[in-house]
Amino acid sequence: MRLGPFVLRRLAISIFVLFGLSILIFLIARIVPGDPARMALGPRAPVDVVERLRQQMHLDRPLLEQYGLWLWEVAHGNLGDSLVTRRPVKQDIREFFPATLELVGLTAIFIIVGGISLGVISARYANTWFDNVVRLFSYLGIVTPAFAWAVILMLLFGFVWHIFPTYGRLTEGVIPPVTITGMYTIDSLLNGRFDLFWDAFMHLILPAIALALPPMSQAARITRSSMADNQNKDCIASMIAYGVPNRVVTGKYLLKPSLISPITVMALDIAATFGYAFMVEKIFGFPGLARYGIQVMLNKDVNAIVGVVMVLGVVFITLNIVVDIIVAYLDPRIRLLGRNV
Amino acid sequence: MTTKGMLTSSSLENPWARTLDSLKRTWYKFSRNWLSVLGLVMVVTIFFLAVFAPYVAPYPQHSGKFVDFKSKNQPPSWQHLMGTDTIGRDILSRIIFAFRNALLMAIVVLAISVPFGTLTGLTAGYYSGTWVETVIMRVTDVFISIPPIILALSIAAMLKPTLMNSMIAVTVSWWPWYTRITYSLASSIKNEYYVQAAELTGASKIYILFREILPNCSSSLLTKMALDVGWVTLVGAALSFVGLGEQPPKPALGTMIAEGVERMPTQWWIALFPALAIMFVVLGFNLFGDGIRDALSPEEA
Repeated sequence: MRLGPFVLRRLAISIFVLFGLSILIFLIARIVPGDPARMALGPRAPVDVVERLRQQMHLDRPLLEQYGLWLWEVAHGNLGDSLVTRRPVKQDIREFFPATLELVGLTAIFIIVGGISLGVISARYANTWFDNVVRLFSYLGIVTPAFAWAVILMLLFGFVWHIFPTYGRLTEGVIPPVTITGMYTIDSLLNGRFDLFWDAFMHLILPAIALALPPMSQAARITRSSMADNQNKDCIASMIAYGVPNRVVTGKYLLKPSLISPITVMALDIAATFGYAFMVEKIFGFPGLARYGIQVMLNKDVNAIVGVVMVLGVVFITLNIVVDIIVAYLDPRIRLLGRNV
Repeated sequence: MTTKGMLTSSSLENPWARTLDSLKRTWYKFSRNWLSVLGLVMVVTIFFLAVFAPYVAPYPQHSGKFVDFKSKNQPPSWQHLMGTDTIGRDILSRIIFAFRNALLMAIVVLAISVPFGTLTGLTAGYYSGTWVETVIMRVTDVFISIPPIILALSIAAMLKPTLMNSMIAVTVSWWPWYTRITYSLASSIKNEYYVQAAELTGASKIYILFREILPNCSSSLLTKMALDVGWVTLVGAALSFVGLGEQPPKPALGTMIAEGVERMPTQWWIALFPALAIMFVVLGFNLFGDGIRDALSPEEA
């Protein structure tokens, strides 16, 4: 396996893309009509105060210099101060991000496990009643947006069956675990508090299902169709004819090449989950990045918006590198020739 | 395209008859699947409701500033099929009016991003291997380095919250996907023999790009467009859910859900019906788009 050079090259490209993204988002933040300093302070702030903030934000310098200064700060791990909360953006993000990360993490597990297993079973029993049910439901799953699922799930579980809690991160009055990672489920396990873990976990389930259903259905559909395509190939037929056990044929020779396209799509969907998490978190009163994100968005907090986008950009690009490595592992043509097929 | 099939004698003489012929054949294939037809019916219904909103909505005046505290928070009934919201407005009427802006948004976004994306994609695909391709595709890479919903949210956040600005935000994050799809099609089509033949006979670049390559991308692009009307509506609703988009009292599907969520679960109808309306739009255009794909794909009969 010559994965080393492949990963290195991918990493180089990613750094380039990240640079591009920073230029793009910085440009948008600066060319937007209106003065960010004025917007942050409100229409009634005195002129000299606004002017001071403008100087603080380097808004009086030429655009290229502004970008250079900003990049210098970012390179030192400083995303600037939030114009609304007056605290470093980094600190705000560190506080709110773990909750969202926890939610998206569980969502990703649902998407990957649910999507692939449903797709595989559906392809294995192609054109039976089970397959048809899965196909019908995956269609419904895809076309129903996450926030519609959130409303429907909340209705069912808040109104009809009281199995899962529908609000917040923990039951009201429960004291959260000592902060280590900021993720309640992991922190409570590290503290050995299994009751807290269960409580936090139960609160994650409904939002995670709402977020996972559309991408999971998409993954199931793609897995099924690529499995079905590969099932009819001669190599598979000959393998079966040679008497290779069914389990080996499906698990090894059929699954590996069939997973390439679903994995690529799932990465994009999991990253997009951060966007839809905004809505789902709001519906379930889940205090994650969404509450913060919506607040900074409505307040035109340019520094914070740029910060959030850059953090999500890094997450997405990392995710893509991981996917590329997995795909390279699955597909020797990419691994050995370094070529995208 | 379906022009490959049998041509009747009349169709050879008259180009109009030929178009009609191919349309008929496309419709035949399209109508074989009842789900596609259902999609078409849903799409037509949405357009009908949007265009004739003031005539079909039961309470047209409820689409703007209207307050009737006497009939607020009413559950669905015969007077108000989908109930009323917190200040007594008929939810069905507001949904019908919200379709207008949702469709307007989809049309504006696609009307800008499809030509732009197609043009850049065609150019990059035809000149693949040169600096033109490098410039266009690397810029595109940057735009698609984060999911469109996040890019659209952040752009809309930095602009003033209006319908117009949310359209701009979605357009900016939408075009690269058309560049990408056209690029991948064009870069493989340019190696086909008919393109090389056109080049050898001295056809102009414009002719090759628009008359040789573009028509062969059109079925994929049309399918994507039909599907995207639903997805743009979805992203638009996501923006207005956060408060970036059409401002109250004008109705927007996302805003209506956001308002209703505060009343969950007791006054469930305020959030549920707008959510179902978005589902209806996305489902309709998805079924319709899949139907178009089946009808335009040459392999399947």
